[in-house]
Amino acid sequence: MNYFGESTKRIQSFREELLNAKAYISVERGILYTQAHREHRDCPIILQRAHCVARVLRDMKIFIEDQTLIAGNQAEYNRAAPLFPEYAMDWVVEELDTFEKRDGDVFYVKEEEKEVIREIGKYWDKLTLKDKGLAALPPELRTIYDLGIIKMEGSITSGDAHLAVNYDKLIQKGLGYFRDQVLEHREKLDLTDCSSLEKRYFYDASLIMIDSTVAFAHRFSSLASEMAEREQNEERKKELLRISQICKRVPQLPAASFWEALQSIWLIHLVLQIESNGHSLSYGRLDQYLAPFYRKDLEQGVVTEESACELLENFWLKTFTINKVRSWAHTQFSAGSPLYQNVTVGGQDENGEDATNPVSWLILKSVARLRLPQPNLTVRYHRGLPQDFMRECMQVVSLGFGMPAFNNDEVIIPSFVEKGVRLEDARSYSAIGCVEVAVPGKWGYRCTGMSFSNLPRFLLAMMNGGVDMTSGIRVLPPCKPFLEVESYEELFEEWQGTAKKIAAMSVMLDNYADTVIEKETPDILCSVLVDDCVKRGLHLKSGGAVYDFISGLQVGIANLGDSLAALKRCVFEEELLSKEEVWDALVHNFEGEEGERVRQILIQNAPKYGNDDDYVDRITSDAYNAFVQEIIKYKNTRYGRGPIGGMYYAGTSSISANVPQGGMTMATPDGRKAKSPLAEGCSPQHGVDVHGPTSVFKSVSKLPTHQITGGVLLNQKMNHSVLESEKDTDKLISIIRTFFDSLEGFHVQYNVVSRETMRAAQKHPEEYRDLVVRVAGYSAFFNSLSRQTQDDIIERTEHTV
Amino acid sequence: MEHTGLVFNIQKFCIHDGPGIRTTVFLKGCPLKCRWCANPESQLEKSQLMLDRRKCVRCHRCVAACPNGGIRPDSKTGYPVFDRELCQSCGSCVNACLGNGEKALTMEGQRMTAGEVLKEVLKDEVFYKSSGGGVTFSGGEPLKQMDFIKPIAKELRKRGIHTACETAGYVTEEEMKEAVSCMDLFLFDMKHYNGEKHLEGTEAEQENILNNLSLILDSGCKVISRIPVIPGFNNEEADAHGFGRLLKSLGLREVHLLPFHQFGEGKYEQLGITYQMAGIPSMKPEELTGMKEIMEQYVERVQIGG
Repeated sequence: MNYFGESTKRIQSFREELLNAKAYISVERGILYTQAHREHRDCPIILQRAHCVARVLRDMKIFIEDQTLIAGNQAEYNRAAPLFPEYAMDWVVEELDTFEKRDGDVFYVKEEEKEVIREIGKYWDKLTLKDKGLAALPPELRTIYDLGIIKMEGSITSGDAHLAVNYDKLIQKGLGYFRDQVLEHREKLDLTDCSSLEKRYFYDASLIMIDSTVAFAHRFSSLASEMAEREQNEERKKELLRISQICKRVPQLPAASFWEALQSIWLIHLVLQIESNGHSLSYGRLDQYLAPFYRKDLEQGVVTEESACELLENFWLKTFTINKVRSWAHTQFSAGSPLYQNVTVGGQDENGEDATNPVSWLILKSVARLRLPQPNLTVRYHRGLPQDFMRECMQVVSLGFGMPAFNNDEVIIPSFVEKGVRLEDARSYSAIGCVEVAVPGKWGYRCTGMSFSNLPRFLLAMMNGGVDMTSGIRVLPPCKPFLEVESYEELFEEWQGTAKKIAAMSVMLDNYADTVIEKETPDILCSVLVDDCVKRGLHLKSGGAVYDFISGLQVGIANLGDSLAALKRCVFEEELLSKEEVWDALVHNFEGEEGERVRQILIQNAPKYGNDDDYVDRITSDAYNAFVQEIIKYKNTRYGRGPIGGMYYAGTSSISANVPQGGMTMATPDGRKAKSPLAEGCSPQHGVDVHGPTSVFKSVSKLPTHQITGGVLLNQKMNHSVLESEKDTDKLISIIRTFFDSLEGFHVQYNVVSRETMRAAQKHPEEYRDLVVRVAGYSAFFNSLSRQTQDDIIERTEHTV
Repeated sequence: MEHTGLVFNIQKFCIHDGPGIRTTVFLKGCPLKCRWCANPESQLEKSQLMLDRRKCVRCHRCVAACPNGGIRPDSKTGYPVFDRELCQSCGSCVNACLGNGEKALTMEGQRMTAGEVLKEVLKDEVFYKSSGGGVTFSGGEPLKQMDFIKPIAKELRKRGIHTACETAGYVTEEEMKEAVSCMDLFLFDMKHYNGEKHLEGTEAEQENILNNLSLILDSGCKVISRIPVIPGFNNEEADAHGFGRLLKSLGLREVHLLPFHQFGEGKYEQLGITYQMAGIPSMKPEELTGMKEIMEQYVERVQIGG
C-alpha cells in the first residue's frame, strides 16, 4: 500500500496507457508548419512564425482521452514527439533509420512517413536555425563547436524555453487581459519612428498567437460537446459537457474554479510546447497560484481533497504526454528524453514567511502517487519550512524516484538580491528545469545559457600546450606544456589563464546562438506571458524580460580539482612521480604495469574532493573560481536593452553531460581513465567520497556558491535503510537542514533505489518498466537510458549508515 | 593535546551510537579477549598489517619493500606471508602495494595526537550542533587510552558537543573516574551476568567491571547497557532472566540487545588470526524478540539493535 494512497481507476488506466505508449515521431506539425511557412514567405519573420504556429493549432488532429478531465494534446498520439523543422532537419533525416536502433531514448517513425520527412528536409535546406547558426560561426569557434569541447548543439537545434511564464496572472485575469495589453501598447506606437516597426510586427504576431490559442481551446470545447452527444455513459456525458464549457471559457477568461485553473494552465503550457520545442518549460510555484482556487472550491463544496488530487494527477499525466526528440549526439547529454517540466512547492512568501499551504501537500501526494519522470518536483527549502512537511517530503524521497529535489531559499534569495533582483521578486523564484532558478513570469529565456564547457578536457589541452588531446586540434592559444612547468604555482597560473579563455569562448558561442535565435525563431506567446515584453514591444530574445541573467554549464568540477591536487601532491610536493612519468601515463591511458603504478599513486596518495579535506577542496574551489570570477564580467545579448542584469554567471546543472563529455575526454591526472564519465554537477567523482554525506556537504559548501547562481547540483545516493524509521529520517532531515541553514548549500536530491534493483532492471527490463531514477537534476525511466548512463548511475556512491 | 593514541578509524555520519549525528573514533587495544569479537583489528595496541587477498595480484612489491626482510611469498599460493615478529609497522610495504586498483595491504592503526583527532572530529561540528549529536569513542577499549581521549572530550564538552564512549568497563578505577569526568553517555557492553561464564567468554574478571559500572551510576552519568547476544553463550531464556535481574539490581533503565553477526569474519583472515566463531550463522533481529520480552519484565527500555 502506497503511503500516499491509490489513484482512482481512471487515472490508473490512463497512466498504464501512457507507460505502454510507443514514442513515435509525429510528422504532422512538420507538414503544417512547412505549408504555412511557404505561404507566408513574404512576411517579416516574426509574423511568418505566428502564421506557422497558428496553422498547426488550427489544423492538427485533436482528441480527448476517455479517462481525462483535462483536454489538450501535443501531437497525433500521446508521447509522440512533434517535428520542429524550423530548428534543424539534417539530423532528423540522417537518423531516420536509426531512431529505432538507439541504445537509449528509442523513437519510432512510420515507414510511409519517412519519405514525407525527407521532403520536408529538402524544403528546409539552408533555412533552419542550425544552418544559419553554423554559417554565422567564425571558423575558430566552429572548431570548438565541432569538437564539442564546449557543447552547444542543443541551443541551435531546438527552442529555448527554460522559464516559467506568468501562470499566476493568466488564471486570475485570462488571456483576454493580455490581448487588451497588446492592443493598448500597439495603439501607442508611433510608426514614423523606425524602431517602432519591429514592435508593430511583434504586437501583430502576438494577436495572431493569442487568437489562435483561444480558437484552439474552442476546438476542444466543440470536440467535447460532440463526444458528449455520442456518449452512452451518463456520468461521462456530464464530464464531457463540463469539459466543453470549461474550454469555452479558459484560457481566454479568468479561471472560476480549481478545475478551470488547471485546464487554463495546461492549454497555455501545451501551446508553448507546440510553439517551440525548448525544454525545461516549467510551471513555477503552482501551489501558490492554485491555493486560492482550491480554498474557495473546498469551501463551496465544488471539490474534495480527493477530487482535487485526481485533477492534479490528471494534470501530471497530461504533462507526461509531452515528448521531444533530440539528435543522438544531443540525446546523450539529456538521457531519458527528459522535458524537465518543473513544478516548485513550498518556500517563503513575499514577506519571508513560510508559504506552504494545502496545495503544496496535495502536489506532493499527487506526484508521489504517479511516480513518473514528469513533472520534475522541487521543494523550496527555508529555515521555517515545517518539520511535518519535511517528513512528508522524505516519504516521497523514500519511494525512490528521485523526487523531490531541494533548493535552498537561504542562499538563492540573497544571491539574487546581490545581483539586483527586487526582494519580493527574489522571494517568488521557482526552480526551472532541474536546479536552475528564475523568477516566474519575469525572467528571460534559457536561464542556463547554452554551452556545456568541459573543464577537464581543457585542462588536458592546456597541459598539452593548447592542443586538444582527443583530436590533436588546437583549442587554446599556445601555452606552457606541463613538461616545462616548474612548480605547482606555475601550473595553476596557466590554469587561471585557461579558465579565462574558456569563459570567453563560452560567452562568444552563447552570443552567436542568441543572435541567430533572436532573428530566426522568436517565440511569441511565450513572450506575451513574461513581463515586460508587451510593455516594451520586445520579445524575450530581444530584451523583453524584467530580468535576464544566464549561466553557462560547467562540467567536471571534481575531476578538475582532483587532478590538480594529485599533480600538486604527487609531482611537486612529495615527488613521488616525475612529470615525465605522469605525462607518459596520461598519453597512454595508464596502460601497462607502469601506467597502472602511476595511476595508483595518483589515486592513493592525493586526497579527493568530497571528503571534507581542505587541501583538495580549496584547490577545487580555487580552480573553478578562476572560471566563475571571469564569466561574471561578461554581458549577454540583452544587456542594455531593457532587462535588469543582461549578465552571465556560473552554473553546474550539467544534466547527464558528464557521460558523453567524459566519453570525449582522455585520461586525467586524478586517475580517471580515458572515455569514462566525468563527475556530475558539483558532486564528487563517483566512489571517492568515502567519508559519508556530511563530508560531501562540507566539501560542496567550500565552493563559491553565491556566484554559482546557475545552480550547484548535488546528487546523493542513500541506501533505503536510512529512511526506514522515523528517528533515522529525522536525522537525515537534520543534516539537510544543516547543509542549508549553516553551510549555504544550494541544492540536494536523493536517489534511494538500491544498486541491486538497478542491476536487476538491467537484466529484466520488462519487469521494471516504471522504474524511475534520478539522473542529474531530473528523473528518467531507467529503461530509457543508454547502458553507459545506467552503469554511471549504479556506480554513484551509496551512503549507508 | 600532545598525547598520542592509536586510532584505527574515524567514522562520520554515525546515527546508531548515541543521540543525533555522530562521529565515532575507534581506538586500538582491548584487555578483553572475546571469541566473537567483530573488530579483531582493534584488539592489539599496536599497528597491524592487513592483507585483503581479493585485491592482491601477487606482484610481490611488498616483499621487496620490507626493510626487515619480514615478508616472503607463500611457496604454494604466491600470496605474501608476514613474519609479524619482525614487523616494525613502518608502512613501506603498504606504500609499495598497488593491489588491483585498491591497495591489498593496509596498516590498521595510526598514531595520532589528540589535537589531530580533535581537528578531524570538529569538521562535523555544525551537524552535531543541529542534531544534538557529538562524538563517540569506541574501540577496542577507549578508556585504556584515557590520557589521549580526555583532553579531546574535555574540549568537545567545552564547545557544548555531546560526548559518549563505548566501553566494556574493564579498566582501573582511576581510569573510570577520569572517564566519568568527561563523558555524557556510557554505552556499557555487558557480556554475561554470571562471573564464571564471563571469565570463560572474555578471559576477564567481572567484579572489577561491575564496580566500575556502579561508579558511573553513582556519579549520575547516563548509561545504556549493550549486550552482544552470542549463540551458545548468552542467548537462552535463562540468560534473559539472569541479565534482567542483574540490570535491575544495578538500577539500569535502558538496554540494547545486539544480535551476533559475522561482519568481522573476513578481517580475521586478513590479519592472519584464527576465528573461533567461523561458520556460525548470524542472528536475525527477530530471533531476539523472546529475550526482549523477558527482559522487559526487569528493565524499562529494551531495544533490539543499537
